[in-house]
Amino acid sequence: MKYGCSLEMVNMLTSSLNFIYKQSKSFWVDYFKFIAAAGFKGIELPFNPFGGDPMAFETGRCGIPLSAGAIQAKYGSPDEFLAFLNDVGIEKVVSIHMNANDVQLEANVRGYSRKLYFELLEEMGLAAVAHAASLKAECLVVSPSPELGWLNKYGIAEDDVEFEDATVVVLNTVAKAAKGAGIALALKAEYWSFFRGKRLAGLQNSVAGALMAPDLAHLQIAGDPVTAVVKAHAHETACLHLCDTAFKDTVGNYARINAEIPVDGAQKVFCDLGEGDVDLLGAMKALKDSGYDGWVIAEQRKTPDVYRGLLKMRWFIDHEIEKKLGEA
Amino acid sequence: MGNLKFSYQTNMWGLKVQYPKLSDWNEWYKGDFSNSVYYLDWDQILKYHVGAGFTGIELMFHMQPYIEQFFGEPQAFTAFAQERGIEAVTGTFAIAFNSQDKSRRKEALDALQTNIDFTADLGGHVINVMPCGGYYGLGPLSKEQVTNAAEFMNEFGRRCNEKGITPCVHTEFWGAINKADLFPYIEQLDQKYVGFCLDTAQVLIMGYDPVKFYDDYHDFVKFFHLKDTTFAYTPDELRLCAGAEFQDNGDRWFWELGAGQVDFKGIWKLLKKYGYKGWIGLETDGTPDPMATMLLSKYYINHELLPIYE
Repeated sequence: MKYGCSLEMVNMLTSSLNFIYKQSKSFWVDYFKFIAAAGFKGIELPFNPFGGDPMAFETGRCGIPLSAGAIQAKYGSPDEFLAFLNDVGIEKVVSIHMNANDVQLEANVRGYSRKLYFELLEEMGLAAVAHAASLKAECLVVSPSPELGWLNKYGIAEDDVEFEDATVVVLNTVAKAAKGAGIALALKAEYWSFFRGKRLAGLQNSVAGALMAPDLAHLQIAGDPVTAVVKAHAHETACLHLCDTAFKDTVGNYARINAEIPVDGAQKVFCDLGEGDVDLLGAMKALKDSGYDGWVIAEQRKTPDVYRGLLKMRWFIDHEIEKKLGEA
Repeated sequence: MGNLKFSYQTNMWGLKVQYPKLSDWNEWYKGDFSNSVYYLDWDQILKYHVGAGFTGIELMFHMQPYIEQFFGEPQAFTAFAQERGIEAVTGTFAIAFNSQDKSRRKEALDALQTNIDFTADLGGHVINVMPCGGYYGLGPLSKEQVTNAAEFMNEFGRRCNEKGITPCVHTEFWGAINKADLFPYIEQLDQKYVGFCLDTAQVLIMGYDPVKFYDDYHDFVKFFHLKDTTFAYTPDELRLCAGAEFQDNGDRWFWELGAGQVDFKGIWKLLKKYGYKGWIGLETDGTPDPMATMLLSKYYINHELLPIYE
């Protein structure tokens, strides 16, 4: 298995010391070097092509490489960006992650309607395919729905068949474009997603050629049997997200807006690898036993120190995963 | 009781402050053992302001959705702040996107109406407004576009005034209304409805002396963003490129008061000369440590400026 690192572990949407430096190209240039120094040869990049949502505007106009425009403005071109990554020791952009919740936020600003939402979802999906192709990525990871909290706000119930069907139509269009570009489309369901639980498998069956990108922390919070899910879908997994959590959603937070920022109950949703209670070793053993030889994307969302986070991640993978799998 | 009260723009703490109030401090501290937990919620950040002697705060436009999502309504946020000793949310900051385009006037005004309502609901009295957007992609503006942008501000000003709010033009060194257009633009503003927020560093970086500016336009200046810079009179090529506000090498544009080239004592002498009374805003975005910068700025105010005029 090959290990990559998700850039979403650098959380731009929170208050923290020196947060503004993380908006500069300087930070990212150094951070890519540190990712390589920590032994990660691949990366997953977040993607947001919009600028109407004020947070998207703020994060899209600086050195954060989260859109084609940012790559162009700050790194010259996709080819120059890839050459830079190669030069510092990162072999490839493994995957691009698009999140339908970003579509929802953009639609909110433009005057939400269901029609507008799906138009923007398709726009984002096709732009993500083009972006992934320009960066020679293997995979487009798709979080296929906004937060249930937003859906509830706009009258979309958890059994809304029309919403599900319209999502399938758009994702098939995106999947067709991805296939044409030689890119795998993989689905990832967050614990706050319309498609959480067994519903994601149904969506996968309805989207031609779609693979899976299971996220261990989200599976655990949603109450899914993590290792069993990984084992069941190992043969159709494009990349696995190695994430940890100790969070227990005891107040129905999954159905609220900003589900990853709980106001009530426990508030810290994600934690560094090994500090939660996900059976990471069990899940990875199931993956290995299935013969999986693809990418594992490690991620410590909202880790408080993004530099120390890289070292902790590498140590955990080497000593608590790889070494023990070798001994098993 | 002095003539001056101090308000701080909260954008130096983060694009958003995630939590209203942490329920279990140890949930974050244990295992991390760093100071990151001190920066995660409004509860603590508001207390730092009050402890340092800042009794006003200002919010960014991009914070609006989250304030509404976490506090339900803007009034609840203001009450939350007041419970911790904040006297007022003095106002907000917004960008008048597309205001240089007359054909999009209604769309642009409608987009900013939510900011008027948000500011009024917070109890604020000022909206600091960046005209049009960034120079990169828009500039240079034609004379007609500059006129359109001014007409927009005048109409926006009338709408704001109806709710007791003064919109204050806030120029940015990287903005579409830039060095060549600033004074022609100002000349077309109706000062009955529109004021100016003198951002001392932005004006100095763009290429004008903020002391002279205040001397010339003291009646027009209705609010301040005091901040310092070490990039006085910066050349165009550094100011007008893509993403200019975020320097590729990581350099800071903005510093705490007294750490750069702005002549704050000159400004303070003019505040005394013209008898300014009311809120003075500070904005020191770009600092790696907002708490240190806030305290250093207040030290400078207390020890270097207030002896001149308070």
